[in-house]
This record gives sequence, C-alpha cells and structure tokens, in this order.
Amino acid sequence: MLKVTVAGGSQEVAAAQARVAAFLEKADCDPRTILRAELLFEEVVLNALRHGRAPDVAVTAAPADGAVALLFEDHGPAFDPVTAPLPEAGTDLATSSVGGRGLRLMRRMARSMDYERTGDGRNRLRLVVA
Amino acid sequence: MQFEIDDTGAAAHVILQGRLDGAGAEEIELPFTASLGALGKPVMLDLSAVPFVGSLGIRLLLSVARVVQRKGQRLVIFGAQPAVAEVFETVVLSELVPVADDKAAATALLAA
Repeated sequence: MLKVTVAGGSQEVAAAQARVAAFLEKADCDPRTILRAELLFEEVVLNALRHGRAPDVAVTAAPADGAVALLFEDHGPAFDPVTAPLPEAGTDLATSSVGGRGLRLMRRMARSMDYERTGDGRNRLRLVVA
Repeated sequence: MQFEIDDTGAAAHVILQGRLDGAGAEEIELPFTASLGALGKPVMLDLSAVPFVGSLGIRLLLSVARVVQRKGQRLVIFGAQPAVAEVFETVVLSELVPVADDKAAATALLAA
C-alpha cells in the first residue's frame, strides 16, 4: 500500500501520479491497469484541488487481486461523482464545451466507485480499476 | 511535453511528444494553440509518441481543433497508442474531431 498526500497544481499532481505508477509497476500490476489508475488519479485529485478547492488530497493505492484500489480523501465541499449529473457532451466542435469529460471517463474507467461524506466533513471516494 | 511541426506538405504534420496529462497540457497550451492556428493549412496531428492523455489533454486537443476550424481548416488526429485510443473511445472524441489509425488514413480523411 502506498499513501501520498498531494497539494498544489498540475506539476505536483503529475509528480505524485508518477510515484503511484512506479509503486504499482513494482507490485507487478498490468501496464494497462496502471495507466487507467493514473488517469483516475489525475481526474479525482485535480478536481478536488481545483474545483473543490481542497487544501490537499490524501490518496492510498493498493494492488488488489489483479486490480488496483484507490482511496481518495479530501476536506473540500461534498461532491459525489457517482451520482453527479453528466454534462452534455455535444457533437458539434464549434459549439461543444471543450471540458467536462472527466466524470464520464471516471465512470467508464472504474470497475467500481463508492462515495461517502464522512461525519467529520471529508469526501471519501473508493475506486477499483482493472 | 514538446511538439514539432513539418509544414512542407499540403497538410502540416504535427508530432506531439510526451505525456498529455494536466501538467503536459498546461505546459504547451499557449504555444501549441497559437502555432497550429497560424499554420493556415490542414493539420495531421501525430500522437504516436504520446503514452498518456487525461481529460485536460482532451480539452487541449478539442480547443486546438476548434482554433484550426475557426481558421477554415481541418485537424485530424492519428497514431493513438491503444491506451490513449481507449480514452478517446470513452469520451467519443471522434464525434468532434476526426480520428484515424495512421498517417495514410489521416491523409485520406483530409482529402475526403
């Protein structure tokens, strides 16, 4: 199990992402699973830091029977990515929003997602990726 | 993250190199968008040297494709590695930007 706490911006997130990837490689996880884990890591952590304005995000990564379990905890405002409405994707480049695809990626790439708002005011998101 | 532009052909061949994660996308966003917008010709964007694309990377690809479109040109993406192609399929990128397997297919798409 590896626990990292990330604060700052995209550079810090990328550095933490690389540490998680190196840890999962050492644990002999499948390269494709590692890439998916990196994708979810970036998505959740950057969202919490930028949109949620959380001061930091604590992430625990652990290999679990060929899959990878990721646990994210932050003190930002409550946000449940499991039930949040998906933004319209659009089919016209000229008028579609260029962002807003992260939630869709997260839901499709994760094998399971469990969210809870803890009694002491933390977002707690557990994702399993395979 | 870096990019290289060969504009000697009818369409410019643009090669992206490195991880298009949040940090990579932010690093090249301004020069990349400005350079491709100023080309004044169709763009074939080669992603074969890009092992990772996150949602901020997708955002950059869409915004650069839109800038090129506003200049009256088209942008085609090709050469995505399997893991990157999986991300593109998940967000149905091809509904907004043409995605081809290789350079020959990208050339054919631009000619169509």
